[in-house]
Amino acid sequence: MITDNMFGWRTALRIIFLLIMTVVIMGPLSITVLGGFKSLGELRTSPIGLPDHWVLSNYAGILSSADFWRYLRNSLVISMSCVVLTLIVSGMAAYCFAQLHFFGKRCCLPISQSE
Amino acid sequence: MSTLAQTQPGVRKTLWRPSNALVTFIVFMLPAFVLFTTFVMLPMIDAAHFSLYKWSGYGAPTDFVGTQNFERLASNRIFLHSLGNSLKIIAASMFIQLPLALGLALLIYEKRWSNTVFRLVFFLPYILAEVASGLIWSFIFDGDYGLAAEIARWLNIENFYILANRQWAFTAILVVIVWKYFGFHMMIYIAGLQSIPKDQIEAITIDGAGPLQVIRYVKLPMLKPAIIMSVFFSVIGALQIFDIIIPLTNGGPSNSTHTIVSFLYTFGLQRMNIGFGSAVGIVLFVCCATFAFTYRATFQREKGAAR
Repeated sequence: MITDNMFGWRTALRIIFLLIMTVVIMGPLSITVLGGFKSLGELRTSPIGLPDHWVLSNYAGILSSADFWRYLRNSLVISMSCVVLTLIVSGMAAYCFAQLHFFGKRCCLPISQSE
Repeated sequence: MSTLAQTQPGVRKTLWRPSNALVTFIVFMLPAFVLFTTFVMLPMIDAAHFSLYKWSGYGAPTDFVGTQNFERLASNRIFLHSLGNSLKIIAASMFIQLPLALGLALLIYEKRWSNTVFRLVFFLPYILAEVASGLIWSFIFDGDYGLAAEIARWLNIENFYILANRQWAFTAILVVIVWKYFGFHMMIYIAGLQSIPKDQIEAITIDGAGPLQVIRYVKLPMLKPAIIMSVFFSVIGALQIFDIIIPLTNGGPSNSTHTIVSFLYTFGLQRMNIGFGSAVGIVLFVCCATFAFTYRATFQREKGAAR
């Protein structure tokens, strides 16, 4: 590891592979994000690349619509209650599985790291 | 549930006497038990009940047909095809996704700022909502306006419609699935790799092992619990793929890209055959449960033998 040349072929290969993967991941995502700044006509004619003129009305329309914020609030309520309930309920149940011995304990867990 | 023994050693006996164990068990287990019963067990029992009826979902199920739903299922060519598709997803996630995730994890598990950036990027698709990623990729694959059309224009070939092609549509879906879920498994492996003690790697390096030998003799053996867990998650997840299929192909062309769950949704719920759909659900549940328990039994026995 230490003797590895900084610009050895191994490092180069590693970086090339990582960059290819980054392009594969970021390609679709960036097309979508940039597509939001294009007009519908431009999206049809040139789906990739930067928009010729930046159309802000798509994102502005979303951010200024009351519906969007209501949906966001709904998601927030669901996710928060999910987190709180899961933490409390499954934390308590997990304590039982970890610290107590009872009949049927082994059957209840499909995967268990420590027995 | 009544044969409660004493607490494990190491827990202070003065605080948790055996008599307290029962109280603890009841108080701590009750909320999980109630929630699990109402939202998991009862619907499952209901589904098993409905699967024996020919029922549209309206009124009470009265048309008892016995195992006819299951017989129809066994001879349904689309269902058998969707079963095969689910197996293809399992194969793709085991033999493409997991090696890819493992390779990337080995490349970027060390704590450096550049690795952190890559880790964040590779984890992005997993954060994305399933339906959103399905829509994004349906735009990419779109042969009229999307990236596929652009590529066709560059190469000067006729427009191709991957998602409308019976031969290639499912391959495209597999690409999306690998794209979306490899980050999750990569994170499991990274966590596993970071917990490997540095002195072990150092010791084998001093003994003259190259990077590949370090991977083969230290990292992979130490990763075994993580690999066991991620295979489990990928198989169970593969059997339940649904949200990606619907925006991409909606099961088409000519029902060739259904998975078990999208088959359930299309032929059970959309066509109001709740009885038939429940039968599909029961089959899926039996598949998952059989896999989960065989898997556990296999790997725990191995663990016990190793001790």
